[in-house]
Amino acid sequence: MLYVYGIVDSCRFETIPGDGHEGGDIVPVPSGALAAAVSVLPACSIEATPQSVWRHERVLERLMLEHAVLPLRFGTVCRDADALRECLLYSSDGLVNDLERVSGKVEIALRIVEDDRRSALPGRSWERACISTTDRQSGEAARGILNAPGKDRPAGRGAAYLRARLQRVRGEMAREDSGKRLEQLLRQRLDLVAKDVVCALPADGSAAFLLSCLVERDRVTEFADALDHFRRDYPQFDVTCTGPWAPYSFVAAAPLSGRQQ
Amino acid sequence: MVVRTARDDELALADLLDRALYKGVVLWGEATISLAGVELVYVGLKVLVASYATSERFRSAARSGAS
Repeated sequence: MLYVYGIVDSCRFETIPGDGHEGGDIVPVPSGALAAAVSVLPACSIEATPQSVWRHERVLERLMLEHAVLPLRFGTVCRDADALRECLLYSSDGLVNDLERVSGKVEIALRIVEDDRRSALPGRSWERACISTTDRQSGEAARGILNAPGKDRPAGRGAAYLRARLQRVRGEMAREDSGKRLEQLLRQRLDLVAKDVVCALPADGSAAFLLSCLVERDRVTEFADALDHFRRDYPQFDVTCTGPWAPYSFVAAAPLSGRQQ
Repeated sequence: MVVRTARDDELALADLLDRALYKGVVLWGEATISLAGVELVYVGLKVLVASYATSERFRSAARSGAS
């Protein structure tokens, strides 16, 4: 079985001896102008351990020193070189587009938490407490209940449900609004350095905002300086930063080729 | 601000897992994502394995410092 680390913008690269999983050599499997970086995996699958995931990343970083590289999702395996070539051929249009996008760039991860007690930004839009379209009906009903004079407020289970639902909707909208506001702020401050920014809200509902920034490799220090200015100007944000990473967040999960089904 | 690169840092591990297990290119065709201990799901040309349980395990480990 072949373990596939990434796609390189060249049909060849020098073998990297012994750096792969299980001590395997990293070798190219060429397909047209591209090559997949692979090593032989004795088993049919790989266990995701911190060590194995770091190894995957280290191989990509090593390749990125000389090439544009698209990181494959951890755990990608293929039966043999011929089957892999078929995969590459099938996805080649999308792969070429993505390679052009990430060439010479790295990914920086930002994790940002806003401290509400120190927030000085005006006009929090979520204070309008608007209700999303899908929840409008129950939201309006719940708002009516919440706004009713105290003695008129229904105390049944239905009312409690609607109150809880309204609170949940408000909370979700507040997070989304806050995320958009933060992304806009960061785009303004980092626009000259970051080529692209992807913002995400953690699925676990935590207060952090996750941003991925695509930065030219030789401008990482400049990016860090810009982030430093941002932290000074907006002390209400607790910003942590990791990287540089292979550009996982800036590749299409599936091929862009017209051949996809 | 210094960009963190410490390989043993819990936060760096969490960020790496978020990327390597959830993002990155997914090839179509004969390539599969095959993690030990996780059931393979074969769906026509596109083969994926849910890595949620694995990543959650490592997130928990990272939070508790056990990793």
